[in-house]
Order: sequence, then C-alpha cells, then structure tokens
Amino acid sequence: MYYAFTRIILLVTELESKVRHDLHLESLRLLKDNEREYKFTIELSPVGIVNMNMKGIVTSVNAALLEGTGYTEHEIVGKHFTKLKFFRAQDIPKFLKLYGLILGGRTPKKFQYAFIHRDGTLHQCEAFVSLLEAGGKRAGIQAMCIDTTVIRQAEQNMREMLAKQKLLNEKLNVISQLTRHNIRNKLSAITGNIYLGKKQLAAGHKALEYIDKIESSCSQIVRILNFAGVYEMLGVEEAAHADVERTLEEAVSLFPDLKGMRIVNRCKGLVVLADSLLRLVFYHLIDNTIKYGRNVSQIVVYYEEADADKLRLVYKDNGCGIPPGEKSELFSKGYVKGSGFGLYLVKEIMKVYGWTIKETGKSRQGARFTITIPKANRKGRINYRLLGSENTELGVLQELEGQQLTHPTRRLSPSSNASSQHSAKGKCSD
Amino acid sequence: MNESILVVDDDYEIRETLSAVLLSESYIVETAKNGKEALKASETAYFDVALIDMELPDINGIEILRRLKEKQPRMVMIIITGFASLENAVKAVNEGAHGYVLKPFNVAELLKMLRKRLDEKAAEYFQFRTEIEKNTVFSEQFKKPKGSIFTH
Repeated sequence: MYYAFTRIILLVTELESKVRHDLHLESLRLLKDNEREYKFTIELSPVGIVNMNMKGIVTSVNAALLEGTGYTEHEIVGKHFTKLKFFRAQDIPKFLKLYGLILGGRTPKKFQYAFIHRDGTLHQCEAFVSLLEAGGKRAGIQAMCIDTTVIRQAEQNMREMLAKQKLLNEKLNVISQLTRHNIRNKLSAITGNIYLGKKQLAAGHKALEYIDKIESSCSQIVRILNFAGVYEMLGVEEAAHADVERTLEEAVSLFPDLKGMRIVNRCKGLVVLADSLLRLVFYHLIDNTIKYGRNVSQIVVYYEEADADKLRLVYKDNGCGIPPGEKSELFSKGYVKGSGFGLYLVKEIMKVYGWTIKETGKSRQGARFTITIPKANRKGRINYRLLGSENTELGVLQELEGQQLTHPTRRLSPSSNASSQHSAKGKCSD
Repeated sequence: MNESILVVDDDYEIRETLSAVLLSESYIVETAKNGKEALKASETAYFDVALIDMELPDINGIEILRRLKEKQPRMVMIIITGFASLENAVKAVNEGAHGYVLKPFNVAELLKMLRKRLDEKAAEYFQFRTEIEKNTVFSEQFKKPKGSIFTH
C-alpha cells in the first residue's frame, strides 16, 4: 500500500516536472518567436528606428534609418546619440532636454527637427521618443523618425502654387473688370453721341438706319460684357442664408419700369443657402417676362414643399408662355430670343447651387419656372428653412450656421402681410 | 428757370458726352472729375440733380452721396454704375439715391428718369409749400385777438 502510494507521488512529481519543463520550453520558444517578429517588424518598418540604452548609447538601428541618413550601422551603433554625425550641433541641447525628460519618467510629445544626410543635404524629420520597459524595468529608449522632407517640400510647393494661382486669378479679375469698366465708359460715350447725332438728323434720314445698327451692336456688346461679369462670379462667393422674400424685392427694385405689372411675392419665411447671384436669377426671370411675356399683368412667386427633402420655388406670369417647341432650348446659350445669356446664366447659377430649374408652364397660359431645391447641398449643409414667427428663428439659424442672414437692403422692409406686392407705381418702381 | 445738374465721373468722355446731351436738353451742367471736385462744387452752387459715378478714384460713390446729401438735402441723386456693381446700386438706393442708371446708359431712358425725378421733387416741394402756407394762414387767424371774434 505504502509502496503504491509513494509510486503515485513520484509519478505525479515527475509529471509535474515534465509539464513545467515543457511549459518553460514553450515560453522560451514563444519569446524567441516574439523577439524574431519584433525584430522583423522593426527591420521592415518604413519608419527609421533607433534603440538606445539608458545611457544614451545606440544599441541598434533599422534599415530605414540607415537608408534615410546614408550612414552605416557601424557608424551609428555603439555611439552616444550626441555624437551622431547626422544631428546638427544646434539641436543637441534640445535632444538632451528630451533625454532628461525620459529619464525623469515622462514621455515627450512628437517633435520636429532637421538632420544632415551623409550627402550633405538637409532633411526634415518628425520623431517620437519613448521609454522601453522589460519585466517592469527600464530597458532602454526608442526613437522613431519619419523623414518628412518630401511631404514638407510638396506642401511648400502646393502653398507656392496656390499663392501663384491666387495672384493670377486676382490679376485676371482686375484686368477683366478694368477692361469691362473701360469698355462700358467708352460705350456710354458712343451711345451719348449717337443720341446727339440722331437729334441732328431729320426723321427718315438714311443715316439713321446705320446709326440704329451701330446702337444695336452696342447693345450686343453690353450683353456680352454683362454675361462675362456674372459668369466670372459663379461659385466664387461664399453661400449664406438669404431671405428669398427680400431678395426678390431687391431684384424687383432693379427695374426702373415694370410696365404696369404687379409682382406678388409669397416667399415670406423662406430662407435659402445662396449667394448674391440669387437676386440675378429673379432679375433675369422678370427681365424675360417684361421683354417676351406679352401683356403680362402679374407675376407670382411662391414656394411649396414638394416632399420631406425637397422644396419647389415657383415663378409664374400670366403672359403668352413658352411655345412647346422652344422649351428644350430655353436654357441654352444663344437661345433664339434676346442675347441668349439670361436664362443660360440662370441655369448655370442653379448648377452651382445644386438646384434645378424647369419651365413647367403651358403655352398661352403664361410662363412658369419651377426651381427645385434639395433639403441639403453636396456638403450636407441645409439648403432651405421655413421660418415660422417673425424673426424668432432667424437668430437660432444664424447661431446654428455661424453666419449672418443676408439682408443687403434696408429700404425694402418686409411686408406685414403674407405676401408683398409691387407695381410700377409701388415702392420698387423708379 | 432751367434745372442745374452736376455730373461726377472720372472718365473725360463720359463727362463731355453727358454735358453735351444735358445741355441739348436745356439743363445747366457742371462737371466734376472726382469726389473732391464734386464736394467743392456743391459748396458754391446749388444743384437740382447730381449724376454720380459709383467708382470714383478718390471717394467712394456712396460716401459722396452721403456728403452731398448733408450739404444739399433736396438734391436728386442718381447713381451711374456698371452691371457688375448692382450690389452697390442697391446699397446706394438704400443710402438715399433716387435711382441709378447702368453703364453704358440709354440716353433716352436717362433723360426720362431725370425728368420724372425732377417732376416728383417739384411736386413734393409744391405740396410742402402749400402745407406751409395753409399752416401760416391758420396760425395767423389763431393769433387774432379773441375779442375781435366776439365783437360781431
């Protein structure tokens, strides 16, 4: 009995010893594997890595660091970091300070410095230094360095290119604006002299026919200039929340004579994300109505929510409308009527806003332009808001967007009615 | 009496042309090539209308408008501007301009606007004078000794 018991104990002890031995071997194998993997990772890392002991002597470096600095392992390993040739003398005090921080148990932040490549070129670098620990003890210091010279250079090139581009754009703007301004002045002199010349000629004089042609050419030049001026502004101005009711009122105020038309503005409470060209959209629509609407007595502008994520802004008049055959060409450059720029510009402005415009009227029942505004723009900003009570939500909106609502006009105060109306004899007429 | 007009524009040809056109319509015309000259002219003469270019070399068009308004509040002010400066035209109207014309201007429309504004101004003045006269008559009657009312 005693013998059997002793034997069992011996067997268990032997087994335990074997298990312990195997476990130890397994641990060693795992450790070696980890070490190999670690070294492998470090060696293949694209980031330059330097390991040092606590005295600051370099113990190992990886291939990326050797390649980045141009020095050999022999020239780096075994040396104190302050003696490394690629460091600039003026940076050593900074490195010693960082070394001191690490010895004091602190981890310094990522920092930038310059180093000298073996070929003499100056490189920019970003580095991170940390303490290495093993078994709860300080085992050394590791520095990881990324050569940022190419990135920095690319950034610098990009900055220079953008600055050059900005300068060129500014020059181009100044030149084009100045040119347009001067042409306008000269055209004013021409039209003034045409007027004086016509006054000197008797009615029916043959020369009047030629003068009229000169006048017509001048008008064409003006249209081209106007188009160029607006086209230049497309997408340049930062969009802000604009009060549609006021913007329409401002557009109306730009017409010296509305030819007896009544404008019914039912846009109260609608605020959209747009620039000052929105005024021009209304301007061109009204201009088209005046010029080609034939016997228009009323223009109505209103909005309606198409569905949860769309809004329709509708402009309609009670003129002759657009013939079906002309609808497809209506927004094209060079549309048969007028200069062919107005509605083309409107469409281009819509494109910039991410809105769409369609002519949805019936011929002989008036023109009807439907502008569809999606709830959010391409950048995810809210395109439109419907404000409830008078101005109570405006402040909230400004705070939300951190912007000012565009209120460029003080004279045209908002109407107290749901819709404000203008006529040739009203406040907007000149 | 013929109405007087001050033309303010830095472009010589525009000044000359506008002068010729306005003179042909029997207006009295004076020209200024910049804001400084315009303000100086307004110190020595009264003008019914000022035609002001928005883009003057020395003083901003809106600023001139303000200063001229201070000197001669009854003056009709019309802004001359390019199409690209519509924003400024709206600002100018808010600042008290009575209208604006786009360059290159249609002379017939400009003259029409001028006439309209001058007639409106004259009508306003006439109304103002009538009211003043009415008030004067009333206040003179009111000033009569009470006794004289009861003597009859």
